Amino acid sequence: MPDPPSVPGMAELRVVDLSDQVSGAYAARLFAAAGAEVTLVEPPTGSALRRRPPLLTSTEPLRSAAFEYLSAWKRGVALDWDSPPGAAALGCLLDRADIVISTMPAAQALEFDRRVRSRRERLIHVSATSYGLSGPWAGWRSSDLTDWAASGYLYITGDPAREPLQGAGPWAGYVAGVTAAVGGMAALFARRATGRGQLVDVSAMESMASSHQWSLALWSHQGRVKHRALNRHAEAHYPLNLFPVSDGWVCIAAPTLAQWVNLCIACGIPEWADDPRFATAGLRYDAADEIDQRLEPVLSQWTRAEAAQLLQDHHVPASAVLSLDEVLVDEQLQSRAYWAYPEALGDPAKMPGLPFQLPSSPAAFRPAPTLGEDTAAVLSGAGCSAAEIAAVLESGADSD
Amino acid sequence: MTSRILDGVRVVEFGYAWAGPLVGRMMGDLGADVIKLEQNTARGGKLEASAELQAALDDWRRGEAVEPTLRASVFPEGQPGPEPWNSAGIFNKLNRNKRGLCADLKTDSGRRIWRRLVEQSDVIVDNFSPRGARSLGIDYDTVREWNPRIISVSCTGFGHSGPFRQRVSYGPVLEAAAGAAAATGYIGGGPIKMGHAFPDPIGGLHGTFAVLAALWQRDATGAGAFVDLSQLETYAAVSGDLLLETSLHGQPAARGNRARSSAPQGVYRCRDEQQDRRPSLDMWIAVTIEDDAAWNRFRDVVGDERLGDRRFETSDARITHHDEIDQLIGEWTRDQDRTQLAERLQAAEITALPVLTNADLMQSPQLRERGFIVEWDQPGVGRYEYGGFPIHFSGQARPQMRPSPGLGGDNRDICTELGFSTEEIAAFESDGTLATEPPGTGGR
Repeated sequence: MPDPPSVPGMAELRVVDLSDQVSGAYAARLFAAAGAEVTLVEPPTGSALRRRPPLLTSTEPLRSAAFEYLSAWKRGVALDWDSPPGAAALGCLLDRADIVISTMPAAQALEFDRRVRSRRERLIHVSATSYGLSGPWAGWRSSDLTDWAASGYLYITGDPAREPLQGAGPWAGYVAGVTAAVGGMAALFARRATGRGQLVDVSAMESMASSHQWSLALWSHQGRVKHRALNRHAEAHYPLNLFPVSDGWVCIAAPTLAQWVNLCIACGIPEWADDPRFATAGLRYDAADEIDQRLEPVLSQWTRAEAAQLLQDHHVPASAVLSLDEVLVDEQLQSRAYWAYPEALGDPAKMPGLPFQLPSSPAAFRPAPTLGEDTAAVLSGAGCSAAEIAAVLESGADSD
Repeated sequence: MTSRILDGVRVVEFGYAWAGPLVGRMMGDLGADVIKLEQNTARGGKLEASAELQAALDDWRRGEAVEPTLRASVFPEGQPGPEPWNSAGIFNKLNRNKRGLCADLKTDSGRRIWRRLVEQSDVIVDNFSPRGARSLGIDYDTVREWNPRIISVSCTGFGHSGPFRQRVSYGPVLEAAAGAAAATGYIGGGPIKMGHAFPDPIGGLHGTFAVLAALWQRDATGAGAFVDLSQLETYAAVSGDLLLETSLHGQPAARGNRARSSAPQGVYRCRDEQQDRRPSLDMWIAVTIEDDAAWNRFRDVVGDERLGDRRFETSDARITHHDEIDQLIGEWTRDQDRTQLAERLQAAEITALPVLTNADLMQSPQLRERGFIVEWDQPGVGRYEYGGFPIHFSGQARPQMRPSPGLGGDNRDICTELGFSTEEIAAFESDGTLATEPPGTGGR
């Protein structure tokens, strides 16, 4: 494919982020991580994300950890797009934008889409919602927990003797966010061929449903329901579990025969390495209780770090189960300059920086904007006059 | 309009397990020409159709546990068929919209094939360890010499640098290393991992975005790139809010299914249902009450005067008395149909949803109406349904679903396109560089 002349690079892409949910906000953060110019547009009262728990008490007023994390590398504009000057200013930003990202509910998103794209042929609108913009559930309410329920992950996570369990974070929203970012990039490639933007409709439910390992095929191929199995990896891979050691837990994943043999050697039970009772991962799964009883006394002699190192030395996938506090000082992440330091949140505030390093990724960290931090500068850069900017600032003050 | 947005882009996916192959599947669904490169050992060996296996199949038909080896592979109706390496559902669901090339890169002929693939492709995706990549000669330093425009994305567990760069992993190991397993759990309980290897799809989706952004940038600059994608780092990235909070306030306690700052929220048992061969399955509904207004609507629907207790009036008070409230809600839901209940609660503007099983997902009117559930005729397997493509473009048709390739199923076509002659290809086949079966299965 010969290069078309003067194709824009990532840094020349403009993304307007109207999201007030994790999904869209993370999609926009990924565009920023790839070097695009991302402008977060919030109402003058601030994005709902600014009030999303967990709230940090290190600052006054309280700030949301989710907002501070998700808004890094974005510029911040506050305007009331229900007021004439605010609507005009948003229009000005959208005129220059390649992509607008929204997390509005379905009916609003469709109305917004008709309004903004009818006048802007090249604009791409990426919508991230829980259930999508169509279908019988499109208008249904959702939360982080119901996103887990809709995803099929809730039912299969946790203790079979207890209720199904959600993950610790709003990860279904994050998965929808990465999927939405992929959709936005793909629409840019499509626009290169057609000259036209389009609506990209991504749901947390479908993004998560397509992130299942084998359970959808398990149903269509064998008519079986997948269950939760505590920390075993149902239904046929073993050993794969969290095991107690002297100072906590380790995760060991040794489903292949070679890994099983190495595990037996590392744990001083070589006679099990060629025992036909344990010859396949599935046989080992069915003998999991017996295997656990034999492994646990051996493993309990070691610390997490010792067990993980010894097993890795034997090419057995294993890791200490680290707390989040420990992850923050983990030498692997530290050595790869993974962390960013939002100083305004106080010492020792620390969070993941870029999830990957691309040639176009920004060189320096830029913390989340304070409310309206860049309103005047961004609108001026977009060609708004001083009077128009003053009107936007004025209308924002009114609605406060 | 065509669904093939990435027409003209060629991707070589040399991936194992889930994360790398997911990048290939996403690119293939978007219309790229994805060549799935495999070693002949990639899909395991041949299964002997033993008497024990037949007995196990009979058990399965009676509704008992599937024989473990069959269970792991998700064979259709539990039947491995004559070419089990081509009929596993767990493989076929992940490798649609790709072509199959099975080549031994360690031979001289294999090196020639690899070089031409690199020269004639845009993207290489692998998920080998750095050591494995170097020993196979697929590392970036080698391939950039042959094609400076190539985008090489390596999806490793821990990344190509740092003290753990040679560590081996699967998804659950990374859940442990990223703090996610320790953060997830029942109140007062130990660490819990997710029901599937969740870092894999998260790594694969980030990898797909990285490929697209790197391709976009390459088209502007002409320069290729190496992307060192650590699945640990992409997985920790989805806990960015939790990690930031922890850095300032320490790790929050495990909270089960509860919300951070409102109550009640939980997963409540409903009437059991029969979904597969078992007599009944536990069924649940997830409910979130965000604020006092939602609480009042909820109380009206439940109609239990005990929920009107003044001790439950504010959100803070409901957090304090969460156990007691859960008990009352659980009594109310216990004998109800979860789907009807969710519909009734949603009609009253209360956030509630049945906790969906895999069977529910495949039968979901929401997913079906949107065309998410797809079907294709997999050679040697038959017509089965699968999860489809999660992105809907208003200006493109839904992606076509082409079956997953058999092992080495496109060897000849691909080698012909790479410029090898019929004689050369025949020689590659006879010297074992190209294969269409796992080792040790002999001729048929």
